[in-house]
Amino acid sequence: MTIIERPSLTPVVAGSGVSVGVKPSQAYGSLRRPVSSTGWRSWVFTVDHKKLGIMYGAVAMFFFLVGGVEALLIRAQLAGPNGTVLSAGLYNEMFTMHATTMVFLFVMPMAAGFANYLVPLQIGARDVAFPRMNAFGFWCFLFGGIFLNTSWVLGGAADGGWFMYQPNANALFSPSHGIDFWGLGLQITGIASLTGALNLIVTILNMRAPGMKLMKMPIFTWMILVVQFLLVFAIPVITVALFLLMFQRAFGATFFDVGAGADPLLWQHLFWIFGHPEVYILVLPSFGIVSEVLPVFSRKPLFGYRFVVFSGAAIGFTGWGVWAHHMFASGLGPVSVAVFSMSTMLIAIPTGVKIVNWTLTLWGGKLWFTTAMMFAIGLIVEFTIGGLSGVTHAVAPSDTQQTDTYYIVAHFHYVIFGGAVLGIFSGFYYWWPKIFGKRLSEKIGKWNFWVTIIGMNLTFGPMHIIGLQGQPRRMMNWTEARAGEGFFNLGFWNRVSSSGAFILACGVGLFLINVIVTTRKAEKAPLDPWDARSLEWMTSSPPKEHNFDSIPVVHSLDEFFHRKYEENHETGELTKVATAEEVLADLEAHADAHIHMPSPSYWPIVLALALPIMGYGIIFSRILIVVGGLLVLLSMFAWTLEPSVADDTDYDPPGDPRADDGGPTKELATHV
Amino acid sequence: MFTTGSKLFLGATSLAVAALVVMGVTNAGDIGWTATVGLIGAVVALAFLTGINFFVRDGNVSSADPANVFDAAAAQRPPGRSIWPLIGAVGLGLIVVGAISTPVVFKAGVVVILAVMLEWLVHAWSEGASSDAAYNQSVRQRLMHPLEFPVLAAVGLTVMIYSFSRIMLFVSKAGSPVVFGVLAAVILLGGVLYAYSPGVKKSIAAGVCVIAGLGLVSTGAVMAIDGQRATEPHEIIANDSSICTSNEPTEADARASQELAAKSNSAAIITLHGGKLSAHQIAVPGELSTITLPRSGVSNIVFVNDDSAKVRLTAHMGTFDTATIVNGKPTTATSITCTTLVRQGGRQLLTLIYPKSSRALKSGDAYTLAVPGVESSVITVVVP
Amino acid sequence: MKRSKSNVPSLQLVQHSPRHRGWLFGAVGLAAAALSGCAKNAPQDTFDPAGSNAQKIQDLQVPVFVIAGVIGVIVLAAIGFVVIRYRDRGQEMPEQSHGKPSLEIALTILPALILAGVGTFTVKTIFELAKTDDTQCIINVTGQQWWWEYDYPAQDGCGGIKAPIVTSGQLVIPTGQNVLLRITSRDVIHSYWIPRLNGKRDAVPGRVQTLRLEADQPGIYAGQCTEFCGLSHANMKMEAVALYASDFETWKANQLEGYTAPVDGSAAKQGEAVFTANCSYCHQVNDLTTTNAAGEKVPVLANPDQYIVSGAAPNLSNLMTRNTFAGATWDLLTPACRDKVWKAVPEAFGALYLQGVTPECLNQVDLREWLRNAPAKKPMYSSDAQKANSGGKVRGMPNLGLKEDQIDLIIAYLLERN
Repeated sequence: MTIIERPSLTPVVAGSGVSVGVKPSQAYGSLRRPVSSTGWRSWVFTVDHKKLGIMYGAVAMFFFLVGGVEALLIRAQLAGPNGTVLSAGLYNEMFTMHATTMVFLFVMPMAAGFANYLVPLQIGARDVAFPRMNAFGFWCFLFGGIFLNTSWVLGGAADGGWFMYQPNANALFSPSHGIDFWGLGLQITGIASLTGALNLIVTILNMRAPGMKLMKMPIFTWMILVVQFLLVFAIPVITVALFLLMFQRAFGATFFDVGAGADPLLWQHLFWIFGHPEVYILVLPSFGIVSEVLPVFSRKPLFGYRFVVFSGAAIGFTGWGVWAHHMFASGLGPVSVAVFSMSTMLIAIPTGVKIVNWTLTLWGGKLWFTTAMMFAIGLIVEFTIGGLSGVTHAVAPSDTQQTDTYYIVAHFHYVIFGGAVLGIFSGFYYWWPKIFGKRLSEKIGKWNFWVTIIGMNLTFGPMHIIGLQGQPRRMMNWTEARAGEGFFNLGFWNRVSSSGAFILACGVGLFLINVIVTTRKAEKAPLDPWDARSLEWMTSSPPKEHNFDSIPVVHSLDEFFHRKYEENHETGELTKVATAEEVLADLEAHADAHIHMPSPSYWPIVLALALPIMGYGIIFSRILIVVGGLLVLLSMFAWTLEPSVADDTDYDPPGDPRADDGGPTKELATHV
Repeated sequence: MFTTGSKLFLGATSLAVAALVVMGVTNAGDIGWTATVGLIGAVVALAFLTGINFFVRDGNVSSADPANVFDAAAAQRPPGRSIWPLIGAVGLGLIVVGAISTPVVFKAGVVVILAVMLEWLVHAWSEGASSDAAYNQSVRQRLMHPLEFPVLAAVGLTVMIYSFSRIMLFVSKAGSPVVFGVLAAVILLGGVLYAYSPGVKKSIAAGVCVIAGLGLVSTGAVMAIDGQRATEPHEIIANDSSICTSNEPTEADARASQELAAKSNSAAIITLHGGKLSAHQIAVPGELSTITLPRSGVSNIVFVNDDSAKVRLTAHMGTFDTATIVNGKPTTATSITCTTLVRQGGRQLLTLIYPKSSRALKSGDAYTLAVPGVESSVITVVVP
Repeated sequence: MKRSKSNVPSLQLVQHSPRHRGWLFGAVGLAAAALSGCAKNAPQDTFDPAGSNAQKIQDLQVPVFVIAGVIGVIVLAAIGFVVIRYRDRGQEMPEQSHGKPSLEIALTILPALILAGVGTFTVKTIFELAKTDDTQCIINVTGQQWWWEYDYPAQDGCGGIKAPIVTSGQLVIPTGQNVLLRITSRDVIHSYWIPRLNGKRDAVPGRVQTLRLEADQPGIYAGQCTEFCGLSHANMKMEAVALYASDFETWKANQLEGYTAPVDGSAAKQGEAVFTANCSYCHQVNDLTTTNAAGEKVPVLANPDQYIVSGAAPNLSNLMTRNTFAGATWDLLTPACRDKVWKAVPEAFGALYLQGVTPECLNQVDLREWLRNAPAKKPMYSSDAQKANSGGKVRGMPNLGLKEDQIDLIIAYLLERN
């Protein structure tokens, strides 16, 4: 047996005069700092933005399916009059959790997954600024989501609607623990959003490759930057609101208690000041995705890059001034209603700019209809419909007829499903070869697209009719007596909508089939399958752990494209000067000598694990709060005391195998 | 890699997890929380023991390291100093003292003993981790510092804060701001002096801090034993007819103003102007002397005083039979509430619930809103 | 009730608002597609105004829908054109153009102008619909889980009301008058919505919100609580009944009529005792009396505040003058009788409605099920666990465990409450 000395500590010379040492695996047992780059440990304790991005995506996809099943149950209940699939209580829980799951556990983390994976690659960085905080964010999201869903078996899920209006969400009116789980679960996932946002902002502002000015940044990164700023300002608002809710429910506070002189509308203001920017948090990442996809498959740059950037920022900014349009029926008084009505119309303008720019990007291009491209064009079409129905309820008097009816449900599903989700699918098909090295089957992809599009329009299209016929949302059943007769009767269109929901489910199922089929296929994707334009394609697929062998110097927007093509400035003609392989070979030839990456750590996951323990404590037993609190203290101190890069002694054999001389030579800008 | 002991604990942990799952599945949605917490506790505890066992390799690390065969005990450096036997003895003493005096001391003793056992265990193990004392110490620190730092910090802070709070509760109400100000000033002064004289030895600064800390703790202890100052209860307005029927200022008026900055929506606005009360209700035209308020719902009444005298608005909430029966007849009770005194131009809020309809009032009784001293002008409230 | 209906609804809209004729000539097809307001007899149709307030909304939303439709078609056509015209047919790589700022600015200003126009009319309508000083009749509306109470305070409006009237389930209003609802809530937030008469307004506890209603023709206008309010949100419906002024006078007079005690020895008389023993804890019947232990006649007063979370239960003095019960969720009329009332011509409606519920027309099936076990028919948090937080108070009607013969007697008694 070889005994390897620890080079950084001088061995004690024992009496026998034999120098002895000990392997870290023997000294620390299983509690040695995790350093492995393979096996399950490499995933659980990873701080690699790519692995975290993939985990974000996988978990979000799982919750997408959970939320989808909830949606199917809702539609099954409403397929016919006096539905009996679900009881009243279960129906209320179902629509509450459907919305909560889709918003907080699917779209937001899925966008976080894309951002995590792609932003460092797009800006030519080797990781995010705070890798351990990044891991902590992911585990908070996962444990928060699991915590939230354990309420199903611990006395019933939240049943107050995702907007959780007071006083209906009070303990008096919602006696189960569901809303406690909801409030605490969202606090925990909120930590994920907030840490993620701060991390990405610092990453984007500080860690761009040399030469990449802000206006040369890929548009997806731009939209992610805007979204992170929205998160930084929106999450604290909901955090405060959730704290008030928790104190009201768990400790008998009276923040919204009318009898104590409070006003329940305070909750609505707090919720929607968060809730409206949240809509843009959901949809802007997908805007970023299609703004990447459309130019690639049109073979021309994004039309009016600056306008798209500024309209994104404008949406992010004006998004803060429109929240009360969710409250036109709340009785704010005509002046407030008029002001918010106007500001809501105002926000339609930058949104319209985006649609115009996407269309003009296609205009005059050389369109290649891959599945990614089809989903992107699908987004333009469906989002336009959702945007226009949005304008009809910016008109406040008209909104008093439409709000809380299925017309609103139709509107925001066209916006969220037609906007955010189609964009996410577009992103899947576009970046799959980058992330997994294999191209998703285009054949199944086309089926996936068409079945999804048909399903979504059959599901959500009829809801316009149902809503304008006066069927409110959140009703566990509808009756024949008020369904009307003739072509636009509620019965027929509710059936259509429910059938559409199952078609839509098949569309999503086709995607899963595609993933399985692709995974089993041996065929590798080419290095640059789409003739892409931005930096993330300028490395191997999947990228190496350190992303780039040498950090590229950026000269223009669409840097990768301009390294492949040379443009004649007079005639505008393009000549191919290099293949992707050649560009990559050039980078590899100038590889950095010493690259030192941040090391994995136990503490992010332990710290995140302590939070749901405290959550259970608040609901069931104060002792658990103490247990969780101690675990929080322990892991925070441990985290603080732990160096960002593992000691050489943590390696077995000691020394970083990736560095030639075992010493750190090149580190990231910041490590926390 | 699994040692015998850790296998045992691992098995026990899995068993506990399995029991938890089985219980969760069989009693879906209706688990008594004590049982759940107990099982979760068992899982956590067993998992922790598993971890410790992994870590210390059944306390038998040297056998896994053939090099240690060469390291006979005689070749080893003698074990270093240890404070744990001493603290352990203190803990035992606390247990004995606590057993015959107060349970708190006993519990503290148990905690100290447990802490000593953990520390001693890890300390002893770390001394045998390798033949390198410095390395062994680093191993111990790496394991224990994340535990020791927060626990010690929390304990220290608790003691400081508790002592300080006892001091603040001991000194008189007028004295406490002074004490607080002086203490804060002294700390600030100390900080400034330290900042301007970088040459001061660390040990001197630490000594000053320790003395200050000890002073704080001991003063706190003395004052805690001596007891805190008396706190007197305050009068409150609700249902006190002696306050609500006159415009005399009371303690309640001085302490708890219900002054209103803004209220966008109210059930009624009652104005006293020129010795006359008038009511205004949203969307009801004209100045009213009779208003309708909902039964059992919350009504926010805003009272505006336009006159120069300080007055209050009093709501007579009716006389009803109570559940108490005396001589076969139910006793009656009168319910009354009021605002605190309102200065000229002031606005106050009165939040009322009328649980019963006007129909239920005894004959001759009425719900009214009135200002004591302005008997001629009364607002009648109708509750349908 | 019969309404004049044409097959193409947008033409009907043109008749209502001639100033939009120009719009609609160009876009009749689009409007037909965009507007779904052509269901026959859909009682909650948002595109079928039956009064001046809903008409104001209609005049605003129709052009907005048309504009949105036209823009939608233009954008979708442009995308369709691009997709077909520029598909990859092996053409040259396109010019790497980064956009035309002038075009961008033009395409930003254009929608801004359109929205400015829409905004002007929107603001005007908002303020028109918020007016409260031109209304002729005030009704206080209070929501609670899961029904609405209406009280008509004594006033000169509404043709003069001498003493307060308290009713529930159906809001009765005179035609042609702008009625002002003052809406509040006893527990959680609800929302009052009669789509054919106006948009919705939330009932927020501690606040009083106003809503104007006006119906041109007599008839029943359906509505539904639209703010999620707990377990039986779906079962919190409402109906507004419009009557000609003369019929409205008759209705008022009937509501203010004193208590008619049942004839001694009748089933209803026995029912009175059963009612007093089982129902009067929460349900008020005005001027009902009972004899106490001392032999004195004392009024029977309901104390719902002691038994119910929201502190209120419907007043049953005139139950049979209204056609619905349990939050207007079920009809007191048999389906045939209900059809007759709902489909009556405006001229005949008043007389038919004022008949109330006759013994032949009583919907015994639903009413019996309700009296047998109310929470089984309408979910109302009735389990012990769900009552744990409310100190044993119930939400809505509990299961009273009435026997069949008691139910017979109560129904006999209630049939005389007209």
